[in-house]
Amino acid sequence: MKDVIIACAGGFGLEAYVEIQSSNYEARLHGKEPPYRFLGFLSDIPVDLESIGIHEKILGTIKDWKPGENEFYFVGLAKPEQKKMVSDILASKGANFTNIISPYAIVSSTVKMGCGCLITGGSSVSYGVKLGSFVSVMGSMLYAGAQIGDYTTTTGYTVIERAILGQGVFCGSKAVVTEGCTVGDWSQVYTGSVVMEDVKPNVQVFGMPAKEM
Amino acid sequence: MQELIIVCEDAFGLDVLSVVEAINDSEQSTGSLTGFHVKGLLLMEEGQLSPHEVGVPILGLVREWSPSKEEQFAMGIRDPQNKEKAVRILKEKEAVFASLWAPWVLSPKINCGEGCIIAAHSIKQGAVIHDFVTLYRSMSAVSEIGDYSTLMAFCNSTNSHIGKRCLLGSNSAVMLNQNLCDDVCVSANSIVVRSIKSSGTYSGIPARKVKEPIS
Repeated sequence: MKDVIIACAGGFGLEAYVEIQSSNYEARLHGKEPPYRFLGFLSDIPVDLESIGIHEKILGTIKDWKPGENEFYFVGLAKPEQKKMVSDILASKGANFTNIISPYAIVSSTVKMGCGCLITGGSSVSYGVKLGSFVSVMGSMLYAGAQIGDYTTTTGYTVIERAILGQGVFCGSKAVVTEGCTVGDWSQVYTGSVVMEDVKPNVQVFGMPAKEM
Repeated sequence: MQELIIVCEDAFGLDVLSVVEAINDSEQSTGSLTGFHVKGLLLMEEGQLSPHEVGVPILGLVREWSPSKEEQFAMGIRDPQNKEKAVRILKEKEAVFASLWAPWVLSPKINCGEGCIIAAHSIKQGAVIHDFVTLYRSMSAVSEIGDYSTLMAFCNSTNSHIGKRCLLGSNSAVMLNQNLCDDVCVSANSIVVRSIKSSGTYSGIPARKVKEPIS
């Protein structure tokens, strides 16, 4: 059982919290030990969790927090740049990170991933996909042979065919990255785009076929 | 355990491997039906997959393989025309084809033709599915889908008649009661708003013809 603290109690941190609850619920349903013990959130800004029905504590701020031994952290942010910033801060203080995989996601046993990844329910990660660290896959479909770089986020109903996403790529809802394309580091693929050619680093693309904005 | 050989066109065969993995995992936990043992992969052309990419043996080319009585075949091919070619090659050698139903498919296990692959999260409420259709996480309520068609991830079609050898790209949709004739390719994220009566490639919202069919 891992002790888990989620950094940032915004919308995305709450997604991760929900997946932790699902994992523990499914484990108990099948008579197994729950995999996570949730200790609380870290937040640099005041958040009223009680008003949304979450009875958990804010343990402190990220900038003042000292990670303890045997604690695992998860960065609850969607934007790749922010994810990198917060994970660098925590890593410099010696924090270890955990993956959170929903029991309702279909993840092949041949998938390789780093640390700090999130795969929410309804996702489908196919054979041989390579995920880096701090990758967030939210209800997306990743076909066999896709490679996803560190800090990348794919939101709802995106489809990544056999493509290579660089570091820090943000894919909006219902985006499709077609076969054989490479998306450069820190680029953004906006909602509903269909990427049919390689995308350079640090650009934003939109449309069908996707063109630089 | 049934012996299964997956015929691959590029990496799409590996997605079928995922489906088989999901079936085997759920059979283990429920203990009800038999699972599949993947004997290996057959390629359409040389060099489409490299051995170090996959954890199962690559047995050779589909046109050179002699099927034995214990083997069943699954078509891990996305393009409908190529799927039909490969099925024809194997049928001449009297091969037997397996239907793969991943867990979490929301529908009773009937009304499905020979050699279909229905991946997880697909919904086929009341749909009639003909032979060798691949449904990849798509919803096809009350539709009829013709032989060799492939529906990619998140496709939607309700009460539509989809012809033979059609390919619906990811996130595409066929609006209520609209039909597709044979050999239609709908590209990703497109929406078909009117019935399509001539073959070819359609793209956009609303979907318009962008390419004539390759005859």
